[in-house]
Amino acid sequence: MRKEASIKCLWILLTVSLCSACSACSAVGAAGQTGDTIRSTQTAELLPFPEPTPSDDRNSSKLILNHPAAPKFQWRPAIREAWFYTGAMHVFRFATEPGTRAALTGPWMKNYRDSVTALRGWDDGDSFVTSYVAHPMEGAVFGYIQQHNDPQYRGIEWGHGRAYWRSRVRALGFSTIWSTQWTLGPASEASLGNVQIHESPGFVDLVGTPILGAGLMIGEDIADRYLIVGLENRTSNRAVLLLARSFLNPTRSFANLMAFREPWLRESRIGLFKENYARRKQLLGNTKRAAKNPSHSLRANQTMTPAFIHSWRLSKSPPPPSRKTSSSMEPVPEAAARGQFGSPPLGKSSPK
Amino acid sequence: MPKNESGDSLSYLIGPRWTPRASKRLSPYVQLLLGGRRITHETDDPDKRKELMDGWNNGTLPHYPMRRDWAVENQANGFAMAMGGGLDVVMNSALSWRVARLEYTHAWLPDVDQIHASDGAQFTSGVILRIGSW
Repeated sequence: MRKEASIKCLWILLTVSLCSACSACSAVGAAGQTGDTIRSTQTAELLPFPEPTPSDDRNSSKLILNHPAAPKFQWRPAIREAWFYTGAMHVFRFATEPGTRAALTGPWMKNYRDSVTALRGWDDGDSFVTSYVAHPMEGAVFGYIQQHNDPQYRGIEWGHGRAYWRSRVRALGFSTIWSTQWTLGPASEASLGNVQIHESPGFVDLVGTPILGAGLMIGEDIADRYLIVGLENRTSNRAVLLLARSFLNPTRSFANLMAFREPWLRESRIGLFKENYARRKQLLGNTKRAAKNPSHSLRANQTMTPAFIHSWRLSKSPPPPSRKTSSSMEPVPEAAARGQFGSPPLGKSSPK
Repeated sequence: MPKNESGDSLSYLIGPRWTPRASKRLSPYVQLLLGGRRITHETDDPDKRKELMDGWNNGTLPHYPMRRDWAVENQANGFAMAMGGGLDVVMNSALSWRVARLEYTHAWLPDVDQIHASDGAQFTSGVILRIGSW
């Protein structure tokens, strides 16, 4: 228990140190975790794949696509988390930018209108890192907030074909609305600080934040699929997995923080602590034993991940597992309940 | 544009588009858009800006400098229209290729400094992400 607590503290310290380098990130990192956060996510850690119930379908990671009774998008928590993220970023701005604080004086409505109508051109005078790294990260955080509150696509990962791309377009739409709010809306850089009348105005943030943010989400999904799942298939070291999940997918981690959940939480995969840790360790051990002694027969739910099983089977020359299309894709919790940590369909390395 | 000068054009147009073969693989269209156009010519004075920022940082300037303190901006805003057409090729349920879009634009605007932007023609080509068809 003490080790788990120290690992969590380590994560928080590293988050704060990493995020101080980037304004968009720091605002989120400051949100941190509370005891309540850990308590509220404890269920997800202990029970990795809870069945959805009408009162708590937020824990659901089942893919229910194109079904008339599919659960609807959870607007209320999504809007709450998006506002919380927006507020955190504004707090950071006002805490670190004297010019922004000074610009609060004057006729608010006139300055806001002047800021919005001043918008023109492309470049807004920000540095390359701000426009093309920090703002896309902001867009990706909004995108992951959308995904976390979209029961139909919550468990989607890279490799799930058409459903994956559909989920990313939905995230892009949500991200576009909120990044536009951040630039021009009632609680924006235009209304609070009147950026456009103090610096060069430009459309770069309006276009780049959602679109490059969607690209960043795809990049993080690929990193999650190949790097993080690959790591999870090879070690049960909690510190390594916690850091990998958190820092190789930074914007997903921030989106988790905005919902007061542990940054390393994955909707579709087994947790890192307590019973989950013991289970992961046992499965890894089984897998390693099976790899050393191929004649030793183990059922699928006693060994490791699909990726490992797939490569092991190929090396031993049994017939490869059948490819599955996105329409026949099995639900993620089912796959996970069989002891598979990663959830992409077997033999499928990239989406359509 | 010379150094420290910039020119921008912002069009805001709306109107009907006729696509007679919307469900076919080859889909031509024509459109007529009406609205407005704003042309801006800005000349920055970086030395002045540095001086103002130094004053703000030293506390000698009481307010954070505004852009109008270190830049001169001339702009014109007026009625505008655009008419033209294009051809889309549906590649799959998610993507189309806009082979060509050719458009003539006219704006009832005075010249802004040395910018004469009342007439123009645009040719574009690109990829379209289709929403709702996949």
